[in-house]
This record gives sequence, C-alpha cells and structure tokens, in this order.
Amino acid sequence: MRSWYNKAHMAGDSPQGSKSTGKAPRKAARATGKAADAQAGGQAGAAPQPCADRGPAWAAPLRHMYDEVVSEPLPPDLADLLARLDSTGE
Amino acid sequence: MSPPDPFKHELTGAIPHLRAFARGLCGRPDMADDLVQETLLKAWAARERFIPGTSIRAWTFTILRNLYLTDRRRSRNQGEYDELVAERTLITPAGQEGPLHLADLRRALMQLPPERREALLLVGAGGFSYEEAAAICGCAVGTIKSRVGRARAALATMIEQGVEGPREGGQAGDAIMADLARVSERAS
Repeated sequence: MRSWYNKAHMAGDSPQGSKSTGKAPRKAARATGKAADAQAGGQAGAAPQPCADRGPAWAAPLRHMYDEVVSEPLPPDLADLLARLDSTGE
Repeated sequence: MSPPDPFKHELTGAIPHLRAFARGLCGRPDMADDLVQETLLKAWAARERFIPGTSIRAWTFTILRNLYLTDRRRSRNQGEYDELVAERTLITPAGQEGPLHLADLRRALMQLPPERREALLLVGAGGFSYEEAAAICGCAVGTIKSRVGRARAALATMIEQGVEGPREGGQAGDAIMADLARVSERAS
C-alpha cells in the first residue's frame, strides 16, 4: 500500500510556481522573500499564522509539523531576550 | 513614548518561524531555542546590514543555518553524533498518541542528510521558493531542486517502510495521516 506521504509526494513539484534554474539569485530571493514573509505572517511583527494552505501538496505534512511550532507561544527566555534588546539597545 | 523599532518589530515576527526551522534542523526543542537565541543576538548585532524591504525571514534563516552548521561541526569534533540527537527526538511521553505520530515524521527527517533536510524544510515547510532556499543555503537553484527531490523520495521510502523498523510498512504513514487529520479538524 502506498502511504499518504507517497500519494502527496506524487502531487505537485513546484513550490509557489517556481520555475527558474541556474545560480542562486540572491537579490531576487530577498525581494520575493518579502511576499513569503507576509504570507507566513512573519512580517512586521504580525501574529504568526499557520500556513498549511501554501505551497505544494506533497509538503502538507511538513507544513503541519512546521505550523505546530509556529503556533506555540513564545518561550519566556526568548521574550526576556527581546526585552533585554529593548532596554540595552545591544 | 518612542515609536517601536521597525527592525525589532520585524525580528519579533520572524521568531516563530525561526523556532520551527531550528526544530526541524536539529530535532530537539531545547537545542532549537538555544539556536534561535543565538540567531537573535547575531541578527541584532548585525542589524545595520539588514536591508529594509527585503525578507527578514530569509535573512535570519541564513544566520540560523550558519550557526547550526558551526554547532554541528563543533559537536562532531566533540564526538557527538546526529544519531544521538535523533534518538532523543523520538522520546515521547506515554499517552501522547498524536505527538508520537508526528514524531515519525520528525524521526524520518532527522535521518536525512542535513543538506537535504534543510532544503526540504525551507521549500516544503517554510514556503520558500527554490530561489530563496538557494540564496539561504548559498548554492545553485538546481542543487536545491535536486536535494528536495532526493529528500522527498527518501522520506517517502522511510515512512512507507517504517522509520525505525518495528512498525509495519504503511502503518507509520497511516498513523501520521490520521494524526494530521485530527490536527486539521481541531484547527478548522
């Protein structure tokens, strides 16, 4: 029996319709990454939103795993660190 | 009251994604959060180099990845191995049936070579394009495509055959599917 993952594995090959090949276009990636940030709720301190609907079908289980962590509350030590950055400016 | 620092505002928004990426990379929540802390400090120290209007997620993921690779090299020199990390990842308290099934996926991920694991996490889980993932990893787009393709194939094989052996072929995959369905139901 083929597993759920294999079924998903067969569906869709291109993330976000990406088609180009060749060397990594760093500047282009930076520019388009902004859209990805917004899509994932990572922009400008917005509340993180699960992004299970984005990307190719084969990646759905991976996105669920990723989104589980994204939706967790911020651990106290990280919140403390942010506060310290604020107060010290360093 | 002074207006909020835009850089810090964006950095804060990236933290949940940094945590998810880090956990996928190293498999251990405690180690992942340490990695995120280090990343935040590095990013803060280098904030003058961040170009406003570009992707802070891609920028910080690159920092985190480099820190992870440095830590990994150090661990290898100290005689620690990924197998140990993978084994610890699998420990799930009794009675937590759902997480146990998701742990199958995490376990399979941890068995992938690191460069394939990170490619799969960036493209499959993080939603980056191949081009963005290539920029983060500092390699060609074709290399990322190849790594993602091989990682998908390996992951599918591992899950179908049972990641650790005791589970029969499709059972692990079916269990994960059922678990994910429950997660989706809860979310909707």
